[in-house]
Amino acid sequence: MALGFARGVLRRLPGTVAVVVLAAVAGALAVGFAQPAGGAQASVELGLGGNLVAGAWNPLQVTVRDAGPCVLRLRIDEGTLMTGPRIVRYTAAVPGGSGVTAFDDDVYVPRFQTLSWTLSATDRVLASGSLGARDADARPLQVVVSAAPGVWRGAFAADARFVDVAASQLPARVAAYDGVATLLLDGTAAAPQTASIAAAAAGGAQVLLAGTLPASQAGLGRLAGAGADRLGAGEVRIVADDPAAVEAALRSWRKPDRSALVTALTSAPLVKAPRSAPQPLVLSLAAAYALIALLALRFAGTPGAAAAVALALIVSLAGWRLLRPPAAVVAGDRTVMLGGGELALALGVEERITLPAGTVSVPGAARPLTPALYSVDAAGTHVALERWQGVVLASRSWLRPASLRFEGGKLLNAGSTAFQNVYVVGLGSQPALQAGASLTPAPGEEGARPPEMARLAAVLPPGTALAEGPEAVWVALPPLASAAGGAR
Amino acid sequence: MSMLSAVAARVRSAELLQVVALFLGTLMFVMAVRWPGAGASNEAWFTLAPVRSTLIALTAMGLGAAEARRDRRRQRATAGAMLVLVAISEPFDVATYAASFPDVPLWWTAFAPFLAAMGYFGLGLLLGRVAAWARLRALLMLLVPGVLLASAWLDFRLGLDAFNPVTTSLHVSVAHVVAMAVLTGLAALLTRGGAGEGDGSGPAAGSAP
Repeated sequence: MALGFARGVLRRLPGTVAVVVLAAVAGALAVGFAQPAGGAQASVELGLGGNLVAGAWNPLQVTVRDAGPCVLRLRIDEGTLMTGPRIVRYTAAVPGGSGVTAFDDDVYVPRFQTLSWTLSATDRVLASGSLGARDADARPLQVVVSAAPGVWRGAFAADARFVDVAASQLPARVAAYDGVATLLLDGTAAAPQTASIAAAAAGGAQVLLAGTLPASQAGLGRLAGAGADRLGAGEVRIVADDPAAVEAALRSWRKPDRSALVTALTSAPLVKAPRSAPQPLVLSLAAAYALIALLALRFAGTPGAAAAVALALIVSLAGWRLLRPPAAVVAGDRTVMLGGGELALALGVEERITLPAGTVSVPGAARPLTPALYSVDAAGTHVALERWQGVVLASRSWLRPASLRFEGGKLLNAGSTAFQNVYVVGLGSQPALQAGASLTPAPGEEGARPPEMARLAAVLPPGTALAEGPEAVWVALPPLASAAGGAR
Repeated sequence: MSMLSAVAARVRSAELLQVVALFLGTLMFVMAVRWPGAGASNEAWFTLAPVRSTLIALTAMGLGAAEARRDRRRQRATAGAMLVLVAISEPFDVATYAASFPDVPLWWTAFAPFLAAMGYFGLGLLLGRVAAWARLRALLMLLVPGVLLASAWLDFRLGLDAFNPVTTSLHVSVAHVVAMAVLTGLAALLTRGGAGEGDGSGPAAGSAP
């Protein structure tokens, strides 16, 4: 009935007004918005400009006006028909106060059946909303920041997820661009922050700067160096103000496969579960104890009975010391620093094995690589596990200055510690690289590499350098050959 | 003869020593079967604890039923011997607990068997007296496991964890503590006093089942 009424109203409105009304309704569906009694206003936006990518980290923005402290709760059902509901929870405390308060974070959104959220103050719900399985679009975003985005639509594939957002909606956090394939700017819209563009590129997006940027956006051009340059896991490239040039640039881009790197990193266990003492040893000791206790009871009278009980106590303590694993939770982690230019994107994985059933917690936001019940809050990520179960978690990516990088055709160690097991894909092993030292990659010996390095090298393009540092494996992607055709 | 000497003498008797040997042998068999190979999770405690708990319940009730018509001093010595049996089987429980990481707290698995032993011993004494009164002593070998099964069934019907030794060994249960405390009180009541016979009639009872 309400729908019929709406149809009737729209029929009577002029075309332009109807479009505006429809756009407002669509916007309200994508962005949870409420104006509760008491003057407080709140909105929740999940995804870049409200465009959510399933199976990726998505930016989350909560804005409250004139409301006290409140709590945002996300409830994501990532179950399937086979498994039934499997709930992931995210909780964040949003500070309030008079005026506008904005809260930003990045949340991993798996492919879901339902996703719902509530933003509640102590006495009322300020905003709430939900999405269904049809909204769980896993296609990466092709983001355009332009006053006339339609001009660029033809440069992208027909099934590409083409979205236009305002420059002010671009966050300056690398994890927020996990679901972004391309970011195209033509200088016709308001200038974005340079940090946002750097974060997009370092987070793995291909940033295309089309045409001549206005003077207010000249800083962005410097990110592209001589026309195209790597930055972290992505690149910044200047292209001609022409959809055909953009299309060519899109075709030429080979995005590093981050999920393959994480898979290579976790294909061997990061930790080993403790092993129980050998059965023959345990049984031998148990038999010896039982025999001594029986002999004491049978032949030593009252002292024997007392000795048997005392022996039981001693053997219990000794058995505890001998058989109890040193820790209830075994932990291990590994990080790959995927570097391009002067920035490196950190991809961290952690493995936890718990011996008693319980909740395993890791600091910071992370996501399990295998299906598991988990929740994320300010204290970290918490995964519920059964006894003797393990979980591998991929941390939210973060940025570091690239310690290993190519500079002027040389491989440079810009860090403060030496690199071992230096290897260049396609060339072979290289000498160890001391802090501050550089080397010119030359053909070296293939073969004797740690298995982990070999697995990583298998998924990286030729010319990529790998080195083992004390806290991470560093990867330096090879410099781009030149500014591709179409650059101005 | 002091109480400690009486207990030691009771444990040293051939019948009880056989019970102790059988008890420890069964626990060793469970460990041999359930102790894992390399790399596997250790689930040994989850079998050993219920088996031990069931054996304690059966042994304590059987000894109590068998001793129902003995003099009270001997009954007390047998109860003490039962505690010794629980104590010397403790290392098996502790060893498997240490390696298995169960959820139940250690104090429960260390404390509950002692209380259960006394509780079931009291139940056995009561059962022995009732069987003697009903002239059904010949059926004690069946009555002891029968009563244990019936009490486990009652647990199941009432949704309690009071008597079933399998479930009470795996979870902390207030109902079990209360039930066993009441039965322990009954045991104390029935074995109170001098060296007179348990029920004051009939010949001395036989050995434990």
